[in-house]
Amino acid sequence: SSSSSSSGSGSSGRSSSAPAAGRARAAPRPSAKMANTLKPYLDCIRTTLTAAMCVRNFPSQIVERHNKPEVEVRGNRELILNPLTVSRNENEMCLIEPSINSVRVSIRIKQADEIEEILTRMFSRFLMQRAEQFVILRRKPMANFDLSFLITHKHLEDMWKHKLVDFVITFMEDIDKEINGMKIAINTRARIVAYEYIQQFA
Amino acid sequence: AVKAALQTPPLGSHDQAVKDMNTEVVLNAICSASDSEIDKIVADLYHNSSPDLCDTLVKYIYKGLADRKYCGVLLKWHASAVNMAGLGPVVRAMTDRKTV
Repeated sequence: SSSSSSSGSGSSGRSSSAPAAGRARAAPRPSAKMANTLKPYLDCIRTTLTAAMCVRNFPSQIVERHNKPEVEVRGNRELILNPLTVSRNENEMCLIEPSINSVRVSIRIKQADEIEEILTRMFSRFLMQRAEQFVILRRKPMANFDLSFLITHKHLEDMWKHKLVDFVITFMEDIDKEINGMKIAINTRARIVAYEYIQQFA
Repeated sequence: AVKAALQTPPLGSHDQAVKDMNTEVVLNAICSASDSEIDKIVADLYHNSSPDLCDTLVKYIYKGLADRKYCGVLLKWHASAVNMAGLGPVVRAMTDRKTV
């Protein structure tokens, strides 16, 4: 059943695998325009994040002895700053919501076609299930976004701010590369499987 | 032209239509500047006119990026503005209650 299901997807992948493989081979090679906007995009995010991660301890004003991230609670308007968006194009954006004791960073990863959408969804679900190891990752992304980070003052007390910003930026770069790599691997595997399957009829 | 467009932003206005029209005007002015002029314009804004204009410029940049139009150009302007004026305008864009 597993072979039939994989060959089922392989045979449907076979007819589309040629253009898909062509597209997969073309996808990781960024066109000049895309490569040109990546560095300014990441630089802009870096400066915005450095400015946004000025957080300090601020116990809850509503409940005694509680300390909640204000960007999640959204109880008092004076504690939340204006959210800023940095976008590279229609599909890729990064929403940074600062507040007095926490910053929420939500990113939307570039998803060109359905395979990338599925890959992004599964990959981000994998990461979010292990959010405790990740420390700053949020278990659920915000609406319309793929991944969310929640950085609180406690994290900034333990970790260097510039290192945290570096981490987020390299995370964004690596996730794009990984999803591209996974897509190529999928297409290669599908092509091989379909080839082997068709062989038996040849 | 960019300087003129940035002069009187409708900060704190509740009328969304006014803000939208103003944003359009500013973004048009920003996008019509060629790449080589960006640095000069931003330097001129920062040194000669008041630094308030730099703040307003950065606020409009973020507003334009939120609408996801002209992203490439706006990212260049952002890099140039932060080079010139530092992180101050970014922080003020975040904290100022009177948004553009």
